[in-house]
Amino acid sequence: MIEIENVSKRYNGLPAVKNVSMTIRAHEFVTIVGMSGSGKTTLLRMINRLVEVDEGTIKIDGVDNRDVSGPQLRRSIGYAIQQHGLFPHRSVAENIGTVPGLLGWTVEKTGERVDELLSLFQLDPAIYRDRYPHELSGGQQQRVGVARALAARPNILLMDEPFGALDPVIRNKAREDLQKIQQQLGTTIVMVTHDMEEALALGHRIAIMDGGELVQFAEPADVLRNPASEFVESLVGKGEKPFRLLAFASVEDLIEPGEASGSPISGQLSLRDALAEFVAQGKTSLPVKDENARIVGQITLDSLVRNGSGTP
Amino acid sequence: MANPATSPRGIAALHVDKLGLLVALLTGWGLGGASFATFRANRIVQGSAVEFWNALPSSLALAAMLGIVAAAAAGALGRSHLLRLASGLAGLIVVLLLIGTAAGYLTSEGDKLARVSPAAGFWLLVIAFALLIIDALSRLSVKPLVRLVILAAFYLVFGLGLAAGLWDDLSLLKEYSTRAASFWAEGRNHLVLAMGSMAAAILAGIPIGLVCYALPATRSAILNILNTIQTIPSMAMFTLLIAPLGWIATNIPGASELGIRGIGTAPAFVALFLYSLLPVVANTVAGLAGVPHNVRDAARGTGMTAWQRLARVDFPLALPTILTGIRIVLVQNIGLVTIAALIGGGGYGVFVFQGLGQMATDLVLLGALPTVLLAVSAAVVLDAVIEAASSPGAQGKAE
Repeated sequence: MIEIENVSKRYNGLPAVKNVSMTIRAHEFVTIVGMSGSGKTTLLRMINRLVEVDEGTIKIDGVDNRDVSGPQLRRSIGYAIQQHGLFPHRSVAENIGTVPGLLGWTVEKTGERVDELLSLFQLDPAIYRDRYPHELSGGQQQRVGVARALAARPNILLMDEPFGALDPVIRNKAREDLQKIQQQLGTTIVMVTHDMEEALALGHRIAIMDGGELVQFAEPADVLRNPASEFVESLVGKGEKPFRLLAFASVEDLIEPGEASGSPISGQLSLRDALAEFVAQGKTSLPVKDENARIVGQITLDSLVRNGSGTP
Repeated sequence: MANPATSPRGIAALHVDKLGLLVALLTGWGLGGASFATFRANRIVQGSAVEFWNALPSSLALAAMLGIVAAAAAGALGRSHLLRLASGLAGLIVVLLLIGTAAGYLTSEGDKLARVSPAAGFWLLVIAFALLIIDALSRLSVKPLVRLVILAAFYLVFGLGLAAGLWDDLSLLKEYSTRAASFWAEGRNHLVLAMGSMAAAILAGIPIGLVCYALPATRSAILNILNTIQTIPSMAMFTLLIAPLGWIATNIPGASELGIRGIGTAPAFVALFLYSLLPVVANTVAGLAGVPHNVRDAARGTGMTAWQRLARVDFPLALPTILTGIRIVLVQNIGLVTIAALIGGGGYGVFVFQGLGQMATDLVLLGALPTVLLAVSAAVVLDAVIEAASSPGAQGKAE
């Protein structure tokens, strides 16, 4: 758990973060979103004290983060950044083994951990262990960067635009992988992004920063339905909002008896993707199938339009 | 120059570029226009120029001329870099062998006073073939480690030739034979001065560079001072140091016992040290500044302390740049030590200035040639060291 209490930071007298308070629960995935200069990166970097707070306190599992030295604190918190920041003169294994090495793990234990993480990130240890960062693709470098951040099994992982340098196709895959790994390991993740789409897709809760202030901290659907200010509304995008809300519900929620023609769609599909199917197939109702490809009912465009926003 | 786009293929294969033209001109001038050797009845009298065909037995002269023309033509017209390298090496070896033979041919049996020295024609030919070799080596982008091997092979062949007495009749080696002991002693002085001052500059310069980097406020002041030192002419610097070091020697107890004097090794060492500081400091700063920002951020983020970041990330990534500075220092020092002989610093400059005083060109060469060899060798060796330090992750640095 990370408790941020009345935290402020100034640079040369100009406030960068103004009196922010928020509590991030254990195992939660929180995204911090805002424009550049909104203070989101400063807020993130104050958690592991790459930036020191001017006022207020940050407690991690109830302990003030100033009770231990900066380096010692940072060894217990994972940190992954844009452009991965891999050490170019060190092999993949040496990069991943950085924090275990600083913590004094044995070579054997570190080696096992490196192989375990490479496998977790779908990189064959035998092939990639001894490669150098410049021999990897952008997506592989990014994965090694996250693996390095997770090497010493931190409870908390801080990420600053970790997918910023990836092209869109790889970025989507990287997001999905990160979500899976978060569910698997239960790591608390705080991720800074300027991309609302990314923040909505990944965050259990979203913190929206504007001009150094925290303007809203809520679940994605809540942010979409009840934006706290015009700024949040504009960030979400008025035209995009209905489609984003559709993404939070699935076909299963609106299934009804009846038979429809057309090629069946999965009950797991999001309503947003279902809408796309309606358009693509040129129908107003479609059959729905379950995991075993059995037809279990239908969904109508009418009910999707009426109920899709989630507000009855 | 042949234009491959318009000329028939057969002619395009025989193409003359700027270098080929230069090599052809130098060879023609060296063989036909300039004298190959200078003959003097003794060390002091005015010499007489000897043309190429008079410097050698006539049959050998004809064969040699054909050989040189063939090598130069192959080098000038050939398109393959390997062919150019081979013809350059062949030409150079032939020319070097010929000057030794000419010396023996021109000196009558038992004449101990006669002196034969290489003249302009010889040097023009050497330059022509050296150009071919240097150009081919750089175009073949030969790895520094391979250059190291080529350098070692050169020393081996050259040493064998010397041992076999191929050039014993040359004036240069006659000067050497009367000064053999001091030649090696001055060689040692030369290296000790050049490398000692370099070592001192590394020990002092890297920490100064770190300070410059860590405290940007000091950077411009320190670098400006070192830049100013660099602009002081070396002769002036050596002279300027005589007075303060002389004062130290007479007024500070124990200083003169340590070898500190107004003239001699001490001012030479201090001057070379001062000249060496700028490349070491400036390259340390540049190397550290070249460490990518996100790598630095990641190093902090993983929980490295300031010293750990310096030792494990910043310094290893800056090392190739720092070594480049050290390479500049060593090559520069090997040249500058020559001038230190003026104030009694020793080194090969001793022969250069003796030779200048006696109007004895061969004595000047006895000092200048080994200096050039040392400088070239230092450059090749340090290039190999830089390459070894840069691999294997260095290519990724630019990302």
